Amino acid sequence: MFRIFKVKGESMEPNFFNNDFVFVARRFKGLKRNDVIVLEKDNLRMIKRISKIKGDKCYVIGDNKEDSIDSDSFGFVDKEGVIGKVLFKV
Amino acid sequence: MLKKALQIIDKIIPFDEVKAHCDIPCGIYDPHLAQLACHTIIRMNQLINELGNDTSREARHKFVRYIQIKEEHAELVKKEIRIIWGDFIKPEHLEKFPQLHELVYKIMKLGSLNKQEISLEHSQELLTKVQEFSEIFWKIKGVESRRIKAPYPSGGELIAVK
Repeated sequence: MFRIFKVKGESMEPNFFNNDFVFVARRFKGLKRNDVIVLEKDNLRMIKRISKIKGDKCYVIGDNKEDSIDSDSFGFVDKEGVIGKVLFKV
Repeated sequence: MLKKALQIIDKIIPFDEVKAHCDIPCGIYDPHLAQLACHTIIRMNQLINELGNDTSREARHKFVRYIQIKEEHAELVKKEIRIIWGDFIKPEHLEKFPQLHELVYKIMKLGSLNKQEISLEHSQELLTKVQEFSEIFWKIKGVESRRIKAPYPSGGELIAVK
């Protein structure tokens, strides 16, 4: 199944803008580089793009590199924290 | 059409939000303040040296104030560089400028040394390192910079954007 989330913030611009809606698949076949995911870290739900995968961990970045707080700041995240994979935006 | 429908639904039953999270998406980074702070530290060392062996009440009062300002500005240098290093510098910048980590480390050490000592030499060394950092920063930003004569009594140079 999928869930709909509303994007808040600018760190995924120019691909995802503030107040865009994203359809997120909760069941998906594996993750790969460049997938856009919704994840939860430190009780914060975020949307990020996978830049690298190392075993059970992902390195995630924002598309708006200059203004994104992402794995460059907080390091690799566990795949367990991934809520779903973004299918498309509206 | 679909977006309109989702917006209406969102007003009635708000969707969960996902943060495209930024600390503050201001994109405003500039090592200029760190440079100014270095010049202030240099100036404080000069003024302290000018006091010489004067132990009058007035001289002691000035001495304390100079030390206080020197302390504050050394911390300011460390803070400003740390913010750029932590929030702005990305791995691809480090690939291009592999000396950045070592340079930031030296700035942190020199910042502390400038608190511990009264040393004109070390304050000038701090300015030199901060200026190296500034030049790299502007290269990363793709902005041309140049060295100009600093218009302050501390002397030396400033890295200014062209």
